[in-house]
Amino acid sequence: MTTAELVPKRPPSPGYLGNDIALIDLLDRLLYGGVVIHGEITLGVADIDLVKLDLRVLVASIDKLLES
Amino acid sequence: MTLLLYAIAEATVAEPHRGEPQPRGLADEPLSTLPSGDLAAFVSDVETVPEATPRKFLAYEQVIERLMSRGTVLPARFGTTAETEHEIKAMLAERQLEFLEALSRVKGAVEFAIRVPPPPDPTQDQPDSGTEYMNRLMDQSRQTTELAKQVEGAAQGLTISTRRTARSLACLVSRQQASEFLARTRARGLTVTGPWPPYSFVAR
Repeated sequence: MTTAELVPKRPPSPGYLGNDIALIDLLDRLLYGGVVIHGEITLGVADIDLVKLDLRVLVASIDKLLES
Repeated sequence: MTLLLYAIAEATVAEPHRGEPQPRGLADEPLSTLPSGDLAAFVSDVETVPEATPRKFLAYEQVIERLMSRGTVLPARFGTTAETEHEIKAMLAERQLEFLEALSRVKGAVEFAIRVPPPPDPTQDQPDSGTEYMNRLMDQSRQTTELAKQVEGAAQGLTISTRRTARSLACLVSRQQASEFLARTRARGLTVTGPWPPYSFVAR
């Protein structure tokens, strides 16, 4: 099968967690994308400097993950 | 009671599949499905809203990916909760058209993220003034526009839709074309992650 499979491609391995960009992109999606219950999703993310925020979260996050 | 919402799908996708184990949630709790009309929501009863920790983020992502293996779903934002089943069913009924349209948009598709490279050391890189900050925002915007052009060039005809965020571009790509999309964009030296569930394409 030549299509990219979601599940087997990214197991929660240290390699995956260690990928900074992947973790930022995941956070961007989980926290700013997706269906919300009340109202439409109209977050104007184009105007927010998300990356800086994410990187701060990320630095702490990766440390924690590596510890545990 | 707190109900944690994981995803929305067509009712047929949410029905128990023969031979498939019941889907499980963040804390390995069994998920239940709340049907309403042609739609259903995957939810679980939880004690509290999940903590926003990296471990939980990853666990959540895995739950969503497992649900995606059953069929097309609209993932919920991390930590989306309701107090009652009624609240969720009412949402499904009220926004039925919106959700059906979104499900048809993302059917058989996955999302990729292409990012403008971050500054070398973001913790040291604070703007000195408001003007400087605004200039940077405009720079980023230009860079993202430039990125969009590059992606268009690299992945012509492969993206179903794109969405821009501050420094990145989300691309909706059919599963069948995902490998080719990755190969072509990476060949151009673009930083690509995915395939992700279509979080950025649930809203119009």
